[in-house]
Amino acid sequence: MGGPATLVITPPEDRGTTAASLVSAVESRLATLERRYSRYLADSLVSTINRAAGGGDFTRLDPESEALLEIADQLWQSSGGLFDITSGVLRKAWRFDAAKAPVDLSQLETLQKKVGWDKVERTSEGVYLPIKGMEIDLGGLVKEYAADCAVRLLRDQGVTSGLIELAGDVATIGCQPSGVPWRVGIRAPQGGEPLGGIALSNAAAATSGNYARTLRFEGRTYGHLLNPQTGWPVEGPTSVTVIGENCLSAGAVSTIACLQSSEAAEAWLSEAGLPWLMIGPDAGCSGPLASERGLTRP
Amino acid sequence: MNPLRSNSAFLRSLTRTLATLPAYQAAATLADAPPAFTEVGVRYSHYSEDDIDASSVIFGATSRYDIDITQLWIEAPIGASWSVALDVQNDYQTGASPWFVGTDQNGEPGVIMSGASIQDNRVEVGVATRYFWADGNAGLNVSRSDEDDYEALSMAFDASWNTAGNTRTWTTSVSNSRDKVNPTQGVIPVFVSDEALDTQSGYFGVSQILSRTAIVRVGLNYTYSDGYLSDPYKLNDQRPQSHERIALSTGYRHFLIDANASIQFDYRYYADSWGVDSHTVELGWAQHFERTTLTPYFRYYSQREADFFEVVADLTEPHFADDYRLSSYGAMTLGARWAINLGDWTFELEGERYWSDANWGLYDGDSAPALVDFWRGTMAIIWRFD
Amino acid sequence: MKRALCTAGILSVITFQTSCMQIETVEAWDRGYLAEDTMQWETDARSARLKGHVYTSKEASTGGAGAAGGGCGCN
Repeated sequence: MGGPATLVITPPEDRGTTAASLVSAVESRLATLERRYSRYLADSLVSTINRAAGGGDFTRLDPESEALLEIADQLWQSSGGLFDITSGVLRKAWRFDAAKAPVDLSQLETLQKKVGWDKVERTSEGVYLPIKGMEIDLGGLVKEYAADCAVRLLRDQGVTSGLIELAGDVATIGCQPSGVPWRVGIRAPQGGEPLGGIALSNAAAATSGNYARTLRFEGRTYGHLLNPQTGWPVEGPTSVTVIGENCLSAGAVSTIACLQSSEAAEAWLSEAGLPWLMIGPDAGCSGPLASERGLTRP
Repeated sequence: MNPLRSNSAFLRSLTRTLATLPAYQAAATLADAPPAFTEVGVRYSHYSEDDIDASSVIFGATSRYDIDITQLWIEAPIGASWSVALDVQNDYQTGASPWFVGTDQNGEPGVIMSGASIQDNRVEVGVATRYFWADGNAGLNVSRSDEDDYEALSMAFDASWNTAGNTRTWTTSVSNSRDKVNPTQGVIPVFVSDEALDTQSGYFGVSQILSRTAIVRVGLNYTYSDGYLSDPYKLNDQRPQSHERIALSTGYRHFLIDANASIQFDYRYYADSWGVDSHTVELGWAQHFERTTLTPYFRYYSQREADFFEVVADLTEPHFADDYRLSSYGAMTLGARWAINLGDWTFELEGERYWSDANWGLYDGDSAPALVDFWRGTMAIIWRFD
Repeated sequence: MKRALCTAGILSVITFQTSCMQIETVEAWDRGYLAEDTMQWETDARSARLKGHVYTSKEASTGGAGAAGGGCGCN
């Protein structure tokens, strides 16, 4: 998953489990997910699928991976094709990690031919990427899924008070040991003081943002989210925070919001029906979470 | 409506897909299980009726009943699905009671009390067993009660089961009791010996979880008794040989998170074939503190007199009674319960005061001069261990 | 007749009240408040039996939320 993680748990009193054993159970669950779905590890399922692109053979899937790809499909459909787990190859044109010459537009046309979830073949045999060089990237989905898996594991062990945070997404069990709900700060994109706090109890908060990695090109600053249809970075909200029952649901809503223009994002978020907060490119805040906290448009 | 559950088409279809993953499925429903620990307890209560008003008495002592009740019990789990319990209760009763109601020289009704005080000891022993399965539990209870003039053997069976994802619990029970009355000749002359009565009773009810902090229930109880149903220690008491009763009850519990307290509400409507109707309302506020709970409560009761009740019994009728317990009156109780939990030990203290008055009732009727006020104090010590 | 109507009236009020109440799904792990001892129908079965016994012997009503139990000479 590659991001920072925080885990706060109160072990249940009557079961004889220690905090240390619970932490290591969660760590091992997360490690299993990473080994399976990380595109950086050569023998992960995702890397296996990517290596087989254009080779003619389907890669068999277990029920969990099948479900994750089904979710990716649902998000692709609901977002009008903006959420596309095959769009990762575009990073070869938009190199957010490179210090020099980050943008190479000559590659864009070739790369775009390798993008398109609709091209991916899924049957009972498994999954197949038909064009050599096509890649899928489950990073975003799996990070949120991992938080939910951790919550489930802890609940099954009888934990009634806990919090897990993985790279900005938070999932909670119950309230803090004192009986007060968990308080999570809404990060300001430019850093510094949080904009406000959210009270979570048996809920999750996911934040999608376009501000973590940026690059400058021809006088403009671009965020790292790319539009798979145009091949260019998305010009939309700076960040969106959504609260939901679980991390994956909240994260799906917030990620799809960030892939649209600010106006379209606001309509999408209202329609989705979960509490949300959006920070626009003008640094103005909108959404029910913003108005509750008195954060207004500039 | 849970704000984190949206009705939008997107979330509904996403949730359906997520449901295929174990991480998002509802946790295994907790099976009904026997208590995890063995419990041993003792409870002692003292019940004391106020002296009857001297102006209401034509003849006899003014002091009334005092009762000491001691309960001892042990309840333990057996294996993974059973539990068993043994209960022993002893009631020691002294005092005088109304023998009959007559009229004084002014024509006003007045009570003739039984002569000297009686002394009566009753012992009840009960054995119960309970079986638990994933969605419910069932129990069987047999008990025997013995005193100088009364013997009873009863058996009861009950079962409850959960449905609707464990949010609804159905309960049913049936019981039977065979009693023998052999009144002692002594302080009060009695005119009967070796009588018997049988009672059958059934209950059906349902309880529903409304939210994470609220639960409601409703139930219906039917009881049928036949045999000797009169009070042998009352001179003018001739009741019918059969008695049918129904009771409709409802209850509500609500936990107030901010106040850290529960609201307890119960209501019962009762009606029987002797013409008695009653309403009972109970309200409690259970306040949680760090280790203790304090529950003040209030009870209001109002009953309508039995068809054959008269303040001064009419002996020309086929059935008659002057027992104040069959008259029209209202009663109020104020009480409080305090409990403290210290590890394996729990201590409880409870006290209540009961006042009754013919004018407090919802029904019309003449005021029986022997209406009683009482207080009760109880303390209990319970030890739980595994 | 009047009494039967009264009973029917009360029955319908209770049924109406209970069916009008909003029912929310409560997950198995979210039942902490409902499990509190003060949220049970009887805080203690034996203590409830004792109270019931006292009232039954001093009043003309019996029954409540369970079948009538054992007998005693208190009518």
